[in-house]
Amino acid sequence: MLQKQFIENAAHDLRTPLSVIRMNAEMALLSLHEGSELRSTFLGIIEEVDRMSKMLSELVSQAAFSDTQRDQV
Amino acid sequence: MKVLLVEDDAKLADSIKRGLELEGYAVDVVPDGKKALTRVSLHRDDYDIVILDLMLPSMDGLAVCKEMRAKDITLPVLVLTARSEVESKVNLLLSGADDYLVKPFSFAELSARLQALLRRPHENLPEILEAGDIKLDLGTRRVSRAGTTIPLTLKEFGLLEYFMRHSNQVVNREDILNHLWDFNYVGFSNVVDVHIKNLRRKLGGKSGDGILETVRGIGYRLRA
Repeated sequence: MLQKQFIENAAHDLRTPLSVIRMNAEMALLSLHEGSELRSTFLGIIEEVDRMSKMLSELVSQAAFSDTQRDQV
Repeated sequence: MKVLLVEDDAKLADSIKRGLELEGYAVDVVPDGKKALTRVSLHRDDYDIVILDLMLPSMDGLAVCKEMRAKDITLPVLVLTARSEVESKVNLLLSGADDYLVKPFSFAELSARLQALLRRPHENLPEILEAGDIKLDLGTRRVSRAGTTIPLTLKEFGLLEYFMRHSNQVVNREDILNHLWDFNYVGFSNVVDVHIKNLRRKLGGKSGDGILETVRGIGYRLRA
């Protein structure tokens, strides 16, 4: 139970800095012109942030699942 | 349009504030739940919408939301949450939130959802405000008079939007300041007069048509 709680808290806390990174990247994109080479760089950052976000969701579900598994033993 | 942003993470708050200011909103950031509740109770008319992070010191965001509704504050509330589980989402909507976004969210989505919440009821599209022969398109952020486009600065646009939402009503300088400038604004109180002067000039119109008139001793009124 404690482990599940710890993982949940950690995952949730990580979402805030991820938000900051994503927003900063979006802001940067706004000030780049259409053909800029940097566009793909920032789009790449956003993609990775979204990927991490999914990983965090999976981490939380996994923690909940293994928790129920343990309880059943 | 003014937003009350209740967010204790300084970096995230700053990021959101800057983004919203680029879109023409005035933003007040309050990093504490209890203080935000006090602020919105005392100044509810200054704000058009509240963005509320659930993870807050001193008072949980959900409790803030419930308290607001209990105090009859009907401002639209958009919640920022770190929890994507369904029960959590259901719970926050039932606690009085109008919408939510799970972190990390797309700023473009935040902006669109804010606009959707600010839309008056019965409207299907981003609003186009009209007063006399002036048209203000909130979607494209364009203003035209008798068909001719008028370029306005962010503040002028916000000012005109405010007047058009209160057309034919007298609006005083203090209301305008409270609604379009954040509470940290340290400047000369004639800032409103300066912007109105510029707005009048740009609106032009048939000479002396005075569509934006001064009501002596009280404020201003847009005649429509």
